[in-house]
Amino acid sequence: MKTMVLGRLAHVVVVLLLVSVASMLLLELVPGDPAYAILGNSATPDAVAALHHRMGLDRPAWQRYLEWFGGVLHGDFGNSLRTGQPVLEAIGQKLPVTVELAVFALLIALVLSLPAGVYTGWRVGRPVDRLTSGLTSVIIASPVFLTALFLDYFLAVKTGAFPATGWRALDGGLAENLRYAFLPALTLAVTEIAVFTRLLRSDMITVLGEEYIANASAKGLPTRHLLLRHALKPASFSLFTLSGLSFGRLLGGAVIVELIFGVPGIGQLMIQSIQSKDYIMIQGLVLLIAFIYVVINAVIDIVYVYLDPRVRTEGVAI
Amino acid sequence: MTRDGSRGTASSAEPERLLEVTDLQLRLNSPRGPVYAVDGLTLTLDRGVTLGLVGESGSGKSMTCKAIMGLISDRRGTITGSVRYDGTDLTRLPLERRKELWGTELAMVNQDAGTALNPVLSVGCQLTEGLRWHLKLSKREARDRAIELLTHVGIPEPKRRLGQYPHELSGGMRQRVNIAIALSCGPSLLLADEPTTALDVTVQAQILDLLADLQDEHRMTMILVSHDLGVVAGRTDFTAVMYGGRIVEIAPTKDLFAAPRMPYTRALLASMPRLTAPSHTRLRATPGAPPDLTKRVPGCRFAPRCAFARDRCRSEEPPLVDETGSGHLFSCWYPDSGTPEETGATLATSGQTLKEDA
Amino acid sequence: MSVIAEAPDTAAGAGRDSGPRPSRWRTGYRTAIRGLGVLRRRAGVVGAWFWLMLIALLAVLAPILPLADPAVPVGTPNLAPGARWPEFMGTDQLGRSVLSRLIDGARPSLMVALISVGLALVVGGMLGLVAGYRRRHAERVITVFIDATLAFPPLMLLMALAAVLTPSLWTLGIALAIVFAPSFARLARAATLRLASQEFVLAARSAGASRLRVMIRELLPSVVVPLLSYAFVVMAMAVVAEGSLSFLGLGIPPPAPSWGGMVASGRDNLREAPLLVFIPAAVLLLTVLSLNAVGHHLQQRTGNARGANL
Repeated sequence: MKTMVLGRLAHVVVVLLLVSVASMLLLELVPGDPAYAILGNSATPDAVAALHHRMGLDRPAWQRYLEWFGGVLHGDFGNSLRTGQPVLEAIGQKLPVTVELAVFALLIALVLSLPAGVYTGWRVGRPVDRLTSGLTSVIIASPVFLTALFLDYFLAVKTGAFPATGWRALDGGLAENLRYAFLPALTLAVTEIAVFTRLLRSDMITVLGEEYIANASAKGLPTRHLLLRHALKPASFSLFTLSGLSFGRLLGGAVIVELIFGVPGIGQLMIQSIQSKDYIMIQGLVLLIAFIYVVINAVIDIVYVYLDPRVRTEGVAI
Repeated sequence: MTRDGSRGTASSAEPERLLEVTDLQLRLNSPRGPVYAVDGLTLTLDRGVTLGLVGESGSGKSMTCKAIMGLISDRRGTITGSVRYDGTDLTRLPLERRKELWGTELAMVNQDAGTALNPVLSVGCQLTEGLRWHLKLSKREARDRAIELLTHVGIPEPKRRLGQYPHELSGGMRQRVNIAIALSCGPSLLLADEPTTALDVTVQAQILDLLADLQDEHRMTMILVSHDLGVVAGRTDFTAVMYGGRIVEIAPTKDLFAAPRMPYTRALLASMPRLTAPSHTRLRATPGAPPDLTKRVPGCRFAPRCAFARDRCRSEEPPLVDETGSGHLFSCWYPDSGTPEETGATLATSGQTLKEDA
Repeated sequence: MSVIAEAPDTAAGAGRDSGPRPSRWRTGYRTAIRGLGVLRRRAGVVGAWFWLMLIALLAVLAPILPLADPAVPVGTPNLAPGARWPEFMGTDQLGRSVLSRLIDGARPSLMVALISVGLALVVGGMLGLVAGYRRRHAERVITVFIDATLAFPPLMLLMALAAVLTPSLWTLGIALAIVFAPSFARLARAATLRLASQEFVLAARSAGASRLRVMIRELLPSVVVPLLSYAFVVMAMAVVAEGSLSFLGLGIPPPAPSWGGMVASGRDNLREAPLLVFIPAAVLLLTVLSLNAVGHHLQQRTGNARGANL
C-alpha cells in the first residue's frame, strides 16, 4: 500500500519533469526567432537584442531551463510576454471559470448517464437500449465543435432559451451565471454522457450476470433494490475512475467550447497565448494542466484502493 | 410419502403436505435449441422432512431447485407443470407475488459461498436487507436480529462481523453467513444446493450438522442437493436419485442404501468413496457422459450407459412406480440386474476412460 | 425482471453433442440463413466502407473532375442547395461552390489522417514491441515517455505544436503522430507481452534466433494485426483533430478548403444559412462514423482470429 503510493509519486515526478523539459523544448523548436514573432518583422536589431536579453535568449537553453525551473519551484512561472502579467496570476484569474464548467459538466454527465447506464444495462436489447447505443456512437464520433454548434443552433439561435455566447461571473448572480454556463457545460457533458453510459451499461451487464445477484434476487428483494444497491455499486468503480479522468481532461480540453461560447477560461487564455506566440504563458499553462492531469490520475488510483473493499484489505495495486 | 421416523424429533401425528411438484418441466433456451434441464419431475414433501437429491453434475439437481423457486426468467426458459407450495401453485403466480415468498417461505443456500455474497456490501447490509424489506423491521431491530442470527449459526464476534466484507471471512464463515441470510426471514422450505461442496471436509461436516440442527429447531423442510451420496446418507429422510432431468429412484434413505433397485443408483453406490477417502470426492466411476438434454430419445435415459440394457430399455421409457408398495419408487424395466458388486465390476472393467464431471 | 430473476447459466447437458450430424443440405441452408442475418447486421459496415471509398475516390480524382475551382466564386453568395447544376449544394458566403470545396476539403483531412496514423503506427508500434519484448530498462524508459506524452491534453499539445510549426500537411501529420504514437505503443506492448511467452516465440528463441530476428520475424507479423485494425479508429480521431484545428484556424491555411474551416466560416451566419455549417458537418461526421464502424468491425474480427490462433 505504502510502496504503491510512493511508486505513484515517483512516477508523477518523473512524468512532470519530462513534461517541463518538453514544454521548454517547444520554445527551442520555433523556426526563426520568437522575438520577431513578438515585435514584428520590421523590428530594429537593437529592439530584438533587448528582447533577447529580457527573455534570456542570449544564454544557452539549459541555463534558461534551469532558471525557469528554479522559478517554477518557487512558484514563479515567469511573466506573460504579451501583457507582462505574472503567468500564475493570469492563470489564477481564469482557472475558476474553467473549473466551474468542468464541475457543472461532470454533474450533468453523471446525473444523466447513471440512470441511462443502469437502465440499458438491465434491459439489454430492448428498443431503448438499441436507441441509446446508436445515439451514443454518433455522439462519441462527433467532434466537440460540431456538438457545440449543433446545441448552439437548436438551443440558443432557434429558441433563444439560452444565450448563444458570453459569460456572466458568479458575482452577477447565480441564476444568470448558470444560464450562461449551461450550454457550454452541456456541450462538454454530452460526450461524457455517451462514454459514461456505455461504460456503466457494460459493467452492469457483467455484474448482473454474477452469482451474487441471482442469490440476492432469490431473497425476494425488489428489483429497484437489486439494481441500485447490489449491482450499481460494484458496477460503478470504473465509472468513478473514468469520471476522474474526464475531470482532468475537461480542465485542459475545454478550449473549443470556451472559444465557441466565449467563456473566459483557461482554454481562451491558451488560444490567445498561441495566437500572440506568448511562449512563457504557453509553457506555464502546459505544465499546470499536465500537473493537474497527472495528479488527478494518481489520486484516483489511490482513492480507488479505499473505495473497493476487496482491494482495500488485500492492498493490491491496480 | 410420509416422514420416516428414523430422525429423532417428534413428528406430529398428522403429516402436513408442504410441497407438491407435479410433472415439472424446465425448458431452457440455448443457442442449440431447447434444453430439457428438468423433464417431468414429480415429488411430494411433508413438513419437516429432509429430501436428499443426488445425481451427477448436469442431471438437473440445481435446475430443479431453481424451477421450484421459480427463479428462471421467461427469457431464459419455460417452466411447465405445477409446483404447489402450501396449496398455491407457484408457477401460476406473477413474479411480484412469487418474490414475496422468496426468503420468507422458500429460501436457498448456494454451493459457492464465495460468489453468493456481494463482495462490495458488508455482511451486516446483506443480512439485514431481507429483514427490513420482508419483515419491515427498523434498522435497529434488524441489526439486533442479525447479531442473533450470526450467533445462532455459530459465528464468533457477531457484532464485528456485521461491518466486515465477505472476503474477510473464511469459506466456512461465509457459508454460515449465507445460511443465516437464508434463514433470516423464517422460511418453511430450504433448498440447499450443494451447500458444502466448496468447503473442506471438517468444515463440511460442521455446516451439515448446523443445517440439520436448524432444520429440527424450525421444523423446516429441506431439500439437500449433493452429488455426494455420503452427505445424503446420514442426514436425510428420503433420497431421490436424478438422471437426465428426472427422478429415477426415490425411497426412504435407509431403504435406498440397503436395496437400490435401479442400475444407475447401484453404480452410484458402488462408486461411493471408501471411508478412508475424503468425503467430498466427486462421483467419477460411471463411464460415459450424462445424456444430451437437447435431444429427447425414446426409452430409458440411462440405457446407453447401462450394462444391463436390453431392447425394451431402448424403446420404451420405464415409469417411476412403487412396485412393492413400500414407498420405494424406481423406474427400471429390469431392476436388480446383477449384484451391486457385479455392477461395480462391470463399470470398472468397461475399459472406458473414467470421466470426471465438473 | 428478466435479468434479475435468473441464475448464471449452467444449462445442464448443453455443449455436448453426441447426436447424428445434420445433412449437408440442411447445414448449407442454415449457413445461408445465418449469412443473410450477418449481411443485415453488417449493412452498417458495408455502408461505411462504401462511404469511405467514395470520399477517397473523390479526393483523389478532385483535380480531374469537372468541378468549379473551389477558391473562386462561381455565382451569387449563399445560393441555396439544389438551385444549380453541377453546384447542387449551393454556394458559400463568398459565392464559391460548396460541392467543390467539400471534395477538395476531403484531401487535407484524409492526407493528415494517413500521414499521422502511418507515422504513429510505425514509431509507436516499434517502441511498444521493444518495450514489450525487452522489458526492464527499455520498458521503463518507454513507459515514462508514453505517460509524459499522455499527460499533455491532446488538443493543447496540438495547438502548442501548431503555434510553433507552420501548418502544412506534414507538420500537422507529425504533430498528430506524436499524439497518437503512445496509444499504438501501449497496444503493441500489450500484444507483445501476450505473445512473447507463446510457444512459437520460445521455440524460435531456443532454435538460436537472435532477439532482433525474433522480434521482426516472429512477433511483428502478429502484433501488426491488432494495430492495423486500431488504426482505423485512430484515423477517425485524426479526422476529428484535423477538423478541430482547421476550425480553430490552426489547420492548413486558407484559401485551401477544409471541412473544419468550412464549418468555422459558416458559423458566422449560422442563423441565416445553417446549411453552410451543417453540410460540411454531416460529411465530417459520416466520415468519422464510417472509420469507427470499420475499425470496430475489424477489431472484432481480428479479436476473434487472435482468440482462435493463440
